[in-house]
Amino acid sequence: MSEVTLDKEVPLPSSSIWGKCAARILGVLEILHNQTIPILTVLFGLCLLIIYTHITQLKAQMVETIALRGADTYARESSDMREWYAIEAVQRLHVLGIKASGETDGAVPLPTLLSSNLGAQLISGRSGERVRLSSQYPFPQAGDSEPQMDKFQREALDFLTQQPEQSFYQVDQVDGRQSLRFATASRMQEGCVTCHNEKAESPKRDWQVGQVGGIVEVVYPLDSLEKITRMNWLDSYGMMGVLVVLWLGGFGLIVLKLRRVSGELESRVEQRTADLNESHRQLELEIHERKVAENTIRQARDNLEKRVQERTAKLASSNAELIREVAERKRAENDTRSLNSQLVQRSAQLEASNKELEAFSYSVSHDLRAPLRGIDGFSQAVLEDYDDKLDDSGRSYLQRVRAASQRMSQLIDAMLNLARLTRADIHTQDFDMSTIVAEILDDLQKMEPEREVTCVVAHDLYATADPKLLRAVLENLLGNAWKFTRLQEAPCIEFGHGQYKGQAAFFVKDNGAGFDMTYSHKLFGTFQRLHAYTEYPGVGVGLATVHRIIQRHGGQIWAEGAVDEGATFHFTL
Amino acid sequence: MAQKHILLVEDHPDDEELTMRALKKNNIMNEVVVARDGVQALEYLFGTGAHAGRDMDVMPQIILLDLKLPKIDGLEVLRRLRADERTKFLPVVVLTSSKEEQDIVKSYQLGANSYVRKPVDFQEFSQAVQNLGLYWLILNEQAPERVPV
Repeated sequence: MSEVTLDKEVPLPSSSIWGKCAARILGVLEILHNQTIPILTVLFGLCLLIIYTHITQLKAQMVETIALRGADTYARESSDMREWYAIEAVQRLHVLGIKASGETDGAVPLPTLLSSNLGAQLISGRSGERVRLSSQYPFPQAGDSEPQMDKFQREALDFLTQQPEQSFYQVDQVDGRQSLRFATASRMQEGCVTCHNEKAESPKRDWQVGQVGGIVEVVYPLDSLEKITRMNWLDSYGMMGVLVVLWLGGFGLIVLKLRRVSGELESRVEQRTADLNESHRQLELEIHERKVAENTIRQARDNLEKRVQERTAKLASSNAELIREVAERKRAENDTRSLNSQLVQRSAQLEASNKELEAFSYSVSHDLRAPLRGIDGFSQAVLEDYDDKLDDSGRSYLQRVRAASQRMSQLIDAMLNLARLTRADIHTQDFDMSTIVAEILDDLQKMEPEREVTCVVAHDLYATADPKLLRAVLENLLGNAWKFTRLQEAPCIEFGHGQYKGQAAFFVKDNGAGFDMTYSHKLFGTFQRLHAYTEYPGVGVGLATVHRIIQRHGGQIWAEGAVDEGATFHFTL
Repeated sequence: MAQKHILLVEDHPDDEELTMRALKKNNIMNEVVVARDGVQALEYLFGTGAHAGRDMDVMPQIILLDLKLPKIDGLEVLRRLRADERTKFLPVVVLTSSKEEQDIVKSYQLGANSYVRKPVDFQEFSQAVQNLGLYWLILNEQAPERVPV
């Protein structure tokens, strides 16, 4: 349980600490990022400082090292020379009985004295280096010239007495010059011990070989060294300065470049930001529009759903209706089928009756006329052969018999004609009606040359119809016009084409007897006549024939007229 | 029978009488042989039946042929006439009551020389008979009786 609670509790603070740390690091990075140039400048200054310090230290170290090396060399050479002199010269001379003394003129000098003199020689010959010997127990011959040991010399002797293999040094002011004071131990050799222990004037006579008798001190002025190194360091500083200038120039260029780049970037960012703002605005607009459109769509969808529901309901009802209708249709189809079969039967019957009619009219044509011929012929025979036995009225009756039979013959012919026209096939074509009218009027004129009729025929009136049947129509209409203007003083017949109650129609007009419009409905009936036969003979089939032909062309015919004011027949095709 | 004679094929006695009267009135004195149906007409023309053994060299100058006849009708008589070598050139005038188009067309198709409708008016009929007699008996030149094969 405790583990669980730990697990639950521990991660939270740790994570918050990590978060805080990360935030702080990010903050620092942010500041660094924002203050790049000052920070770089500071870092650069620091670098320069470090380099300067390091070089200065290095210079001091170098001067010290050179001085140490030089001093060491002097010290070693001085010691070696003294030892060599002590062993090779003083000791041999000592064996021969010649003793080295501290006297300066005409004697073999003591090794120490030689060293002191050489050291003094060195000062005057060189740039201030000096080798000195000093001891606790100064040699009396030489000791006079040596002052008391100073603090450095005492410390060096103490140190080197303890550790004779080491060296001791210190930088100090000597004769107003900054100098390195270097000291090594001067140890007693075999030759030395002999002399030092034997001599009566020796302050100490228990010298052991290897014992430290004193120190060899080398004073090495540093100022000349520093002068030389300063020259080199000045060059180095010059180089550094040039480098700094170059670096600063480069840095400046980079900064400028960065400035420009950042300026460009900023302007780009601004542009981009503006673009983004614009597109953001547009997006918002679009989103708004989308929302509006969505709302509209939602409404439309709702509407649609409503409509679909309504429509579905309607469809269901109309489906039911359809089913009902289909049933009705089926019933109707059955009816139609039965009607069809009836029709087939009827048309077969019609065909049969048509054939019958044909046979009938054929038969009428032959058989109905034959008796009439007999009636007429034999009446004529009686009139001719029995003329003497007949009185006037008998002859008149026989003439009437003949006239009646002839009229009957005309009736039969007219009826047959009507029947034939009813059956005839229609062959339509374009043809010139005006020419046909002119021909018919010409024929009528020839049959009655004595009559003077004014004929007005419109030119170039074309029609699409059966020319043969249309000729029959025009023959009838013009024949009637010709016939009914018989009693007119100035008869006039006109044929033309015009608008009549918004309908384009042909017309045949005369100024003849005309007719009473009351009976206009009887005009086109078979065997209908509106005038006395004696006045205007005719069988009453002509207009019926005309009517039938116009009907068969899908046209209409109608008449206008008044008694004694002529008649006009209009027809369309 | 050597002279030019007429074969009248007519079943109706009234028409026969009226035709004879018209001929007489127009002074056409040629002999008239009357056949009262198609069979009689064919028997006469081909010398068979009642007319078996008749002198076949003698053929009518003109045949006046009614169309509506008992037994064999006029058009059939015409067809058989035209089908036979002996009678194929005989002048045939169809003389009938009708002017039905089909009758006229068929008559000419079968080789009729003329088609005349009998008018109801006797005077017109008489005139027609006179014209026929004048033309066929006098003006018209008949084909040779024996046609070389």
